[in-house]
Amino acid sequence: MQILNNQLTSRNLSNAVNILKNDKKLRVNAVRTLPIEYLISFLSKLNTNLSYKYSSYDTSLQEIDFDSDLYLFWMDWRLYMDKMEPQSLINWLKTRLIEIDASKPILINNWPIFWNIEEKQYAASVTKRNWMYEYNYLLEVLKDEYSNLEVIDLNLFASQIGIESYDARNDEVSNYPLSNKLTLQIARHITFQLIPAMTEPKLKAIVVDLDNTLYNGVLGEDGFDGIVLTEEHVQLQQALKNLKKNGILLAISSKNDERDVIHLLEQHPQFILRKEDFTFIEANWNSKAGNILSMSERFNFDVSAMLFIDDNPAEIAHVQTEIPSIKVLQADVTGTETVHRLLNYPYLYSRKKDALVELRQKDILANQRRQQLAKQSNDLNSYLKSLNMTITVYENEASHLNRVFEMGHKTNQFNLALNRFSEADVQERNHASNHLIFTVTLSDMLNDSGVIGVFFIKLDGELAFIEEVLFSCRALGRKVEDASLLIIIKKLASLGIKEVQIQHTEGPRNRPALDWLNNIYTSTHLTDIQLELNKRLVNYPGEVYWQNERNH
Amino acid sequence: MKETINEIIVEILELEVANEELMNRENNVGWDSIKHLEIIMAIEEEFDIRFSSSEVTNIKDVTDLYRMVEEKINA
Repeated sequence: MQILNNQLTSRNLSNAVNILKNDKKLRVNAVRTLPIEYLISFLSKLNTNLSYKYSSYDTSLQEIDFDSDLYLFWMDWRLYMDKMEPQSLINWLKTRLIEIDASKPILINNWPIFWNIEEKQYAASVTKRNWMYEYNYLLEVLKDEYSNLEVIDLNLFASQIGIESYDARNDEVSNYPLSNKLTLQIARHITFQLIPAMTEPKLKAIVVDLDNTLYNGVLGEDGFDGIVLTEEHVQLQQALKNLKKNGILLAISSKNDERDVIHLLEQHPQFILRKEDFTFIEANWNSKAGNILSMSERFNFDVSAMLFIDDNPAEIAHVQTEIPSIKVLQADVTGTETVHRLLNYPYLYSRKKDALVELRQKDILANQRRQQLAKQSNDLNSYLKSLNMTITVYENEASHLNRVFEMGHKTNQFNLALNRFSEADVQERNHASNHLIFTVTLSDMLNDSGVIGVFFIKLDGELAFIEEVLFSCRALGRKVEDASLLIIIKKLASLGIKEVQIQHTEGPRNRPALDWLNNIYTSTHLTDIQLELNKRLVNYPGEVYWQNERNH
Repeated sequence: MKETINEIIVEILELEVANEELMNRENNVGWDSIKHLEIIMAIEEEFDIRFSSSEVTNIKDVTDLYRMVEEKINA
């Protein structure tokens, strides 16, 4: 896929990418020992929302502006190579990171290892390369200590371009060794991948059209044998498949006969995407906006977390009018620009590989069956009873902490206070004696959903302060939040707690959490909350356990 | 070709118009070594040509650029 991006030049850039323009301004503090003007000239073309303040060239990194939204360390690490060992340089760098607001995103570049290739011409020893190799590794490890730190991988992008990534002339004239091409690649990576991944929620699903989008031609007219896939269409399908592997769900909305579409997906020799890659296939003559809204309901997340790809501008305009919060991407018939635009679409990149993709996919399909069951049952409780739900609550469970951190960052709808705790915050709370982290797991006859809920609680004498409540949207609608809070409230009562305060913040998408809170949080007395929960849970058929009770 | 070169210089040096006096490294303090390389790289990309280190150093003003781009295109 990088090969395609390698063809980008600043001339064809504006066609191929989605220039970012919105109201949200980000103030970037660039700390540099490497000329940054070339990088910024590209960055500012790609994203008009960034404003820059940059330091003078100073290897001691004295000028750091604490009041920034993002820190960009743009470093010529060669300047330190002869003076310090890699580990001492990292230790020193940490003393500089103390000066910044570590709750903000931090970007630091590494260095291409193979640029010192001439070394090997004269001797077998490769000291500089070893130094760089070790230093790059230590920078990666530093990410464990700073959850908001990301490495700008010059080494990787340079190796994809090859030796042309190094520009000896630029280095001689301006101490800037990066070629124009590498600079453009890095600017693209920072703008469309790193910054969005660190500052905005990731998209959850892509809804794609078929005719003239995934291939050239109209299935209903040209037929199975008449449609044409260009090399770029194949690459587009591969890109979509890779996105699916990284946790983005796929769906089709196409004006076609459903049987033709299934046949195409099952049998076409050039197709990379197959029927099972799509969570939903809506092949019909209904309005696409209607199809998408119905999918969003079945996915159980908001349409603003979805991207719609279509070649027909009228279709895109219609969907946008009906669903203003949806993201859209215009496809072109040849597929070339579609694939570029998709690969450079922000909010699709994630910092860590999503380990729970399979689980989520299964859960969404199980959810469809749950909805069928719900339709057959007359009331909510008898439907819930048919599911045989088991809810288990864990206290300070170390093996859940990574998931707890992930949920804080991914959950948008049922995220009560939007704290988005860092990994360090979570660890700290898990170890502190006056903090409790309760995690909630859910399983039913259709699926084991794993950890789907979290409560962060701080104890202070007779007061329990609920700092945060998170629930995965997959689990909503089954009163799991009520049932788990009730068992926790009982536990708090046994610890002598009388008052409960619940922190909450209004965000762009967390209405479901706030609505829930309004129903149960009628007073701060623990007994009142317990009363409300009991009312909501009359005849609740789910089984709720403490983790240790189940083991006994 | 001259027009494209002018456009690139005007954009990078943030000039209002293609003013010949300001399109000269000696007369314009804003045309520093960083801006110089930025202009060179943009022109290289635009015309698909390449300047050597010494050529980069020897370019003093916009007329040098016209001449050298012309030479390279016709080479």
